[in-house]
Amino acid sequence: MVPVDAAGDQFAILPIQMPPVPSFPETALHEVRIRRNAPKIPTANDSRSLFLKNIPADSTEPHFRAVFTALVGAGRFETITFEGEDKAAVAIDPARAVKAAALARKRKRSDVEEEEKAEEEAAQLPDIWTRRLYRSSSTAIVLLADEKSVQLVLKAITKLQKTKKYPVWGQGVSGDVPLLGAPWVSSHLRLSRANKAEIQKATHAFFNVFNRKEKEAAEISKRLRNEPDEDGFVTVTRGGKGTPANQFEAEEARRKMIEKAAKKKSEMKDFYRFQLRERRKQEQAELLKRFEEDKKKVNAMREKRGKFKPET
Amino acid sequence: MESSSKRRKIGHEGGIRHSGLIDFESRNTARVNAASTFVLQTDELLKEAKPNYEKALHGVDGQLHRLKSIIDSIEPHDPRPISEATIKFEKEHRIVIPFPDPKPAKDAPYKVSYAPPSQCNVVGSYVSRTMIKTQSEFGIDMVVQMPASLFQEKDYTNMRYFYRRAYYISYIAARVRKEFAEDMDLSFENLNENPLLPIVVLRPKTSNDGSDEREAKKKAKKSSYTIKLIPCAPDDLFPWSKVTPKSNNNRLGEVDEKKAAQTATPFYNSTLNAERTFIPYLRLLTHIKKECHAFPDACILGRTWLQQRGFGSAISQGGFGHFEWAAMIALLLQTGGRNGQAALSTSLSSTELFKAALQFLSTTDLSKKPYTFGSSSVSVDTVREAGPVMFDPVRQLNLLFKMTPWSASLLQTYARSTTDLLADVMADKFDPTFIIKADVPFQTFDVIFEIQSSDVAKFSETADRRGAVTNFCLEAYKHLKRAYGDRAQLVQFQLPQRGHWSLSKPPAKEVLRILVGVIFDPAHMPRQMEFGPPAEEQKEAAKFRQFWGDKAELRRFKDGSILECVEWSSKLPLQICEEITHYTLQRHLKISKDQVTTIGGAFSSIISLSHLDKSAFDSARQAFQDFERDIRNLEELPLHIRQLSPTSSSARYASIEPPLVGYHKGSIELMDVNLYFEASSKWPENLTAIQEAKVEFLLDIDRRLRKSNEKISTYLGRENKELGIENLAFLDIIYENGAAYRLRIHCDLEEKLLERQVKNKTLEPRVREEAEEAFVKLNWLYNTLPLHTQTIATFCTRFPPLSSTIRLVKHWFNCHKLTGHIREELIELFVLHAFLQPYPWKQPSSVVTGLLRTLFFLSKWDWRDEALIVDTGEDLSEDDRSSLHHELQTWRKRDPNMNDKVMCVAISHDQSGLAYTRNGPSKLVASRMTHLAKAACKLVREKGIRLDPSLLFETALQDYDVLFHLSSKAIKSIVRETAVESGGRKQSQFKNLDALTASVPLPIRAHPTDVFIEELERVYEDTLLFFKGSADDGVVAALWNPRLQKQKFRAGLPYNFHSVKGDGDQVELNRKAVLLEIARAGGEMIKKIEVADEDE
Repeated sequence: MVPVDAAGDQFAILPIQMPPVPSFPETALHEVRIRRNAPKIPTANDSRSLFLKNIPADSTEPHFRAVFTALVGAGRFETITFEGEDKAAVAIDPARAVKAAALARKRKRSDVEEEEKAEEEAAQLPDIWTRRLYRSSSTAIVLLADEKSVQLVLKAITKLQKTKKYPVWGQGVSGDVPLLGAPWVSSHLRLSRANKAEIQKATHAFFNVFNRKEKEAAEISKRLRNEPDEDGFVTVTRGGKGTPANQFEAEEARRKMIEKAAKKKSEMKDFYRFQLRERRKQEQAELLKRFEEDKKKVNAMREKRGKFKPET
Repeated sequence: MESSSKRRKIGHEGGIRHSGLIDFESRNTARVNAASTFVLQTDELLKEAKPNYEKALHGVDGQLHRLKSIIDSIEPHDPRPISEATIKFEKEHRIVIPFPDPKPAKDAPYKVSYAPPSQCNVVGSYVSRTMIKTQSEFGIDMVVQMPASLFQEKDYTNMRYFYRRAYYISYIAARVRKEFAEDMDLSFENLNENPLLPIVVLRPKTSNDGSDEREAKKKAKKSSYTIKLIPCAPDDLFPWSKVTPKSNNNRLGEVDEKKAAQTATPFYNSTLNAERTFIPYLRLLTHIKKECHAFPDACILGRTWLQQRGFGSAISQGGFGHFEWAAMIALLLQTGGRNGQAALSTSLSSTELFKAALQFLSTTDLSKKPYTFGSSSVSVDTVREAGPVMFDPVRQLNLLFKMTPWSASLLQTYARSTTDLLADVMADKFDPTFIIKADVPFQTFDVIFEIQSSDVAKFSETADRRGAVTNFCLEAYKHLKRAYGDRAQLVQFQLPQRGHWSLSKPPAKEVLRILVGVIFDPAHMPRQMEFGPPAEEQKEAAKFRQFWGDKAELRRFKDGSILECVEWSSKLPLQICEEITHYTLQRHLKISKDQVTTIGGAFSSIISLSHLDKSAFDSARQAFQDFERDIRNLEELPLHIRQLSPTSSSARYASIEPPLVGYHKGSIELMDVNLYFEASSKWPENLTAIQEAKVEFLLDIDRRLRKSNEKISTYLGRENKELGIENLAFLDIIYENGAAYRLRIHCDLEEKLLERQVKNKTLEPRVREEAEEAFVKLNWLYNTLPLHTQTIATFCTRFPPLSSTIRLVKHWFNCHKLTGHIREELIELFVLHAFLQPYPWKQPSSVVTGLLRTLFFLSKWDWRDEALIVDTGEDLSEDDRSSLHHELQTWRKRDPNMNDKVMCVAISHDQSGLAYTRNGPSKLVASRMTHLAKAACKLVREKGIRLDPSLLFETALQDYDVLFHLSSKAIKSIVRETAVESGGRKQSQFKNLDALTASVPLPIRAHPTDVFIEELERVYEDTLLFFKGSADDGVVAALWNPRLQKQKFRAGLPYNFHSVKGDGDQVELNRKAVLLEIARAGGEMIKKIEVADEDE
């Protein structure tokens, strides 16, 4: 095997032994690619985290804890974040809040922020899967105890190439990992049948957040309307002094206008003689065009052999 | 500049013409106005169809000349008594004279002789150059006119003419055989399978000298022509007054002397008549050819049209072939119009002549009223006979004497279907008219019976010498037609073909092996009761009783009428038809049940179709109306309800299993329903908030519903989606009687917001993509599906066989594991298309024809450059169509590999062409579908009536890379487990106890198999392509993505890879690891994973 330069940008290969399963009694080596984490926007923990590519679809934190324990012993592995998990909470801001917030940067007090965050979390619906399957060949970031652990892990991986004592998937997994297979599907189906009270609570929480944000946004835009910025310009925001314009009413008005225009246009059709003449000319040209098209079509058919041969 | 324009003026003496102007004088003008594609296509067909006479029939002229000189040189002999002459001749030449049955009596008093023919002439399509390449063989007809001196005045009686004729042709055959022994094979044949007219056929021997075998074969294939030597009568041999259809001229063969003297012998007479018309018709056709230069082309078109429908001059081919077609057009060009004028003008083009001829055939009912050309002096009654009549008064011949009543009505059916097609602006006209082979039995007939009987002797004893089998068929036709009544549109008999036989042997005996094809009238065939006349009409009632025998009974009906009637015990159309056929044949023709085989009956047993299905669907729709009323009656909802529309296939007569209200096998079948509110401005202007508001709405409706009706149980179900812009939840509502609905709410603002997001270019591409996906889904669920459901339901009530056909075709797709890729609504459109554009046939009238024609359509449809347009509302204009066509062309130009948009399917309510096909099938799946359909059609055509329907539904598993065998036990237990509340009482393991405790199972989001496969599809989107059938199917197949080749490692690879041994940076798909992952995820649900061998 080619020795891997673990220090640089290069990926190291971490092979994991996949044990046989009754329905498919064969073994395989799964190759996880691994390197130091170096995201585009650096964070504080980069130096003690590793970036993993091509993790198994049924990965869980206990699984990887077991793998890393097998590599460098217990106590080094802190946590793992899978792809898509760190995605920001869904934007539940009202349309105008987004705009307004972009214009007015105002820091909130941190305790208020905390409170709001908790509220937003309450708005989330309960999970309907006991365990996620990750998309094939997805990524994860492992956070280790310290920088030294990173070194150790990479070293252990290089050593694996010689000893060939690969960690075995699912061995030594501690804690209760939710099962896959039939229990997994049936628990999902059962969770999909939601508890009405819980859902009710979540939606209430959602609308609390939503209404609060809307109110904030309204306030901000109201403030912006009154305050000129440093250049002396006043930002134009939606909504007049009275009630804010509604999208729905705006649509309706637009539709009416278009209808009116169309009606006016149709009344003026075939009014002058030149219009009639023009139209006739157009019709004739179209007729010709169609004829040419037909010809082309037949030619195309001719090129495809056998189109003109009756079947036998 | 000026000079050049001047020069142009000089160049065109007729004045300047803009090249684009339409020249109204030119021949092309008509084409511009008419449906020009069809004309251009037929022109092309004509070019292709004509054989190269020089090449294909090389040396034929020489042969013909030689033949003529040989025949002319045969020396005459004096009259001898017939029996003596026969014995002498047969001994000398070892040729069995093909006397028609019954053979002449030994003591027959008259004498036979030979004299050189008064003329020898080549007639038919060889002379008029109207042969086509696709003919089975080129036949060259040479008529040998026997001199009048051979005959006596009374020869038209008692077959004497035919005996003399047979002797004459054998005498020539003997001599010709001697001369042509080297290079021609001689055999006897009946002219057009008419048992009275033996002729000699010469076939060139295949020479195997020198050249190698393959070349010889090629040669033989090319020059497969036959020369037919046809003896004919001189002009005016017998006066027509003696051989009118009414007269009786033959008493031989009839057992009963008295009867023989009375019955007319129209067939015998017409055959006799036709004998002297060869030369006159040759003259007529040559004359017309000179008059009308489009005539030969029209003949070629007609010949092609007839051939594709299995028609020919031979009796077993319907008795309407090229000659009859040509003569008909020729006569229409001369007479047939008003006031003795011609019906058609000689200046018409070939296509117009063809169309006119079809129009004539489709509008003239030849069997009911005899048709005579021109307003002749011949009265209708003199030419009337039992069969179809098209009488040529000049040559005094019924052109259709070889036709049978059933072949006449089949011809008319085809003509009607083609005229319908030509009038249909929307359909493609050319292929169904000329290219498609239409006479595949199963695609044409709803059921086929095979009658086999060795006992036909009693039918051979009639004076009108049609032959025993034909006589039997005529008899059977009469009875079956009466028995079916309005149940059948068409009853067709397929006679066995009669081939040629060698000179030294007598012809083979006729065997009775007939196929009877029936085309149902779907509105009447399912009727279980046959209603007769009321009891008061005694005469009629007696007739009815006489026909039906013991089966007839007198019944009093609800409306108070007392009617004679017959009741059938079967339930399904096909079985009723079978029962009627068995009974009728047994009663009237003594054909027992075991002599009649039903072919094609096995189709309906493939999925259990039953006559109760329709009422099951009806009651499901009825139950939905009750549900709708309940919802609408809810008081004080914050918004007004505009509409409730069902979207499940069970609401449109199209689910494979009919809905069973109140009975559930372990799981519950829910009907999806969309709830539409009146437009409102109260919805929040945020997609996620709308989804949450919808959940609130559902909960609100739930509370109100349960308040109003305590016996309803409801469940709030979650979609497999996280909080986001897509729908979150639905409400399952289950009634006490078992009717179950899944309610989703539509919000009009959602649609608008999504649309705006899609169009908003300032947003991130990812957001826009998400929005587009959501928008498409929303459009499909709330706009397309309800309309689709309505459309299909309407058509299912309009066309009775449509519903069961859809179900069977869906089963076919299931069997071939295409269901996951081709949505069921698309399948429904395929079937509907086969019903709406059934050309070259009529609309399918049973499940069998429906299925096979749908498959036929799928095999023909070239989705690469044709859009499928299902015009359900009949409101798509020509412009809409051409714009769709252009749309498709631009797709192909932009994406020639068809990675994205594959099929273009448009329907009246969706003209984008994409609504049904946006999420598949991919190119791979679409081609697989076409391949499977082609294979099925090939099987149908090759096997003919020996087709085993279950073969069409056999799954081909060997084509897949991986097979996942699912454990039905594990899946069943999941279904059982999830059907009860978690932690609740375990369901009893005894099935009958379940029924007693009557616990209605709880609704689940989707079937466990579907849930599992859905997850796998999400995880292995770029790795594997899954093929699944119905949810109960035990095997899920998969293909590795063919695009995943060895490649260099990069961090963004979307599949599970491992490094290739000894090849540095290259990586490839880690198949075993992927399968192990799936095995782990599936756990006990997967019984076994089977991998196909790599080398295969």
